[in-house]
Amino acid sequence: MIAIALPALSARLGRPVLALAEPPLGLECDEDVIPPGALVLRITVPSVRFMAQMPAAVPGAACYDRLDATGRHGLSVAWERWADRLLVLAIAEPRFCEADVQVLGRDRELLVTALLRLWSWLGEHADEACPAPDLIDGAPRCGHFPYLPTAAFRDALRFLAGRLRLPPHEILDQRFDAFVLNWRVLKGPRQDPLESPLDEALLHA
Amino acid sequence: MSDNGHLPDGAELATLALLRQANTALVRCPRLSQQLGREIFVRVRAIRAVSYLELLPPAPLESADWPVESVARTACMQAWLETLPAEERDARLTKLGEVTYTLLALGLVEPTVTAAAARDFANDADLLALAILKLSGILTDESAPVEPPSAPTEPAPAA
Repeated sequence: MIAIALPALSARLGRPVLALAEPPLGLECDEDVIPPGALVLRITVPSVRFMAQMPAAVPGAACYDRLDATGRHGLSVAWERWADRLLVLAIAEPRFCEADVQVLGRDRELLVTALLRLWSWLGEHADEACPAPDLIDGAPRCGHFPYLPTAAFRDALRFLAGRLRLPPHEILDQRFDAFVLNWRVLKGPRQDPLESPLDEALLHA
Repeated sequence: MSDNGHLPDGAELATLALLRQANTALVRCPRLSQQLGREIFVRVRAIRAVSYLELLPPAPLESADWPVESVARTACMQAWLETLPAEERDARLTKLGEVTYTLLALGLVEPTVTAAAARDFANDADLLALAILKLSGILTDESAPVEPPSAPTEPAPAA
């Protein structure tokens, strides 16, 4: 399980408060250690249908910069409302309604950001106004999208997804020996007996 | 929560009641305390950011370039207000003035107040509004003192 520490709630209740989420796509992740006495919120993954309803413009993007003051204000309100709805859907236990989201207090924004990173919608960045959440094991995960497969593996998934006409997440469920066989056969004749198994140039050949 | 859906040993599911308790706080009312000659506290709670944003008039476009630090930002806002026609400036200031009392109506738990009754907090009103915003994570500076939930208190008389 991935544990997202909620520091403000932890400080106010005098015990660790964590949001516990499944690793995305069932990928192997380091198990976070749950400290004794921890209070836990269980996280579930919302549907794409819900995520598709997120506001159209993002502060900082060109479409946002074209808005007037009223438009920008309306967009900020829309983002806050959408974030509350996201938490209502994502927190499986205890059950929340929108009016309850305020009980997360100062941890609300941190949790939204952490979940969007966990689901690889947001990447890591060094913006101090939006710090990466504290992970309970203290070991920061590396990479811009730390919960996605490596770039080389994504290349292989993209190649096979195109050839097999399957979405990449379904290929992840295949047995690895089948994955490798599909990939080696479909990528074409071997060009070098010592070729790197995930050579990008060959993948695009 | 392990793979079979159980919580790890020693962990406990959070309840809404517990989370609500965590996001209430006691805040001292300095003017009331001085006036009554004893320590007076009120209990406030966190509010949703969207509830606050909906109270505010749209920020000027220039505000995107203003400093984040609150004193410098306030100075920029003051300078910008001076550039507005008097009528527009007054309307905006009136709306902003109402925000404080609406915040108290949203965020005060003990005593509960309407926006109209919140005016009775007089000079304490701004401090209480700041405390609510800070507890909610909407303001992050340390300007508003928030006591831990266990602080001794004498509740404020109902406004």
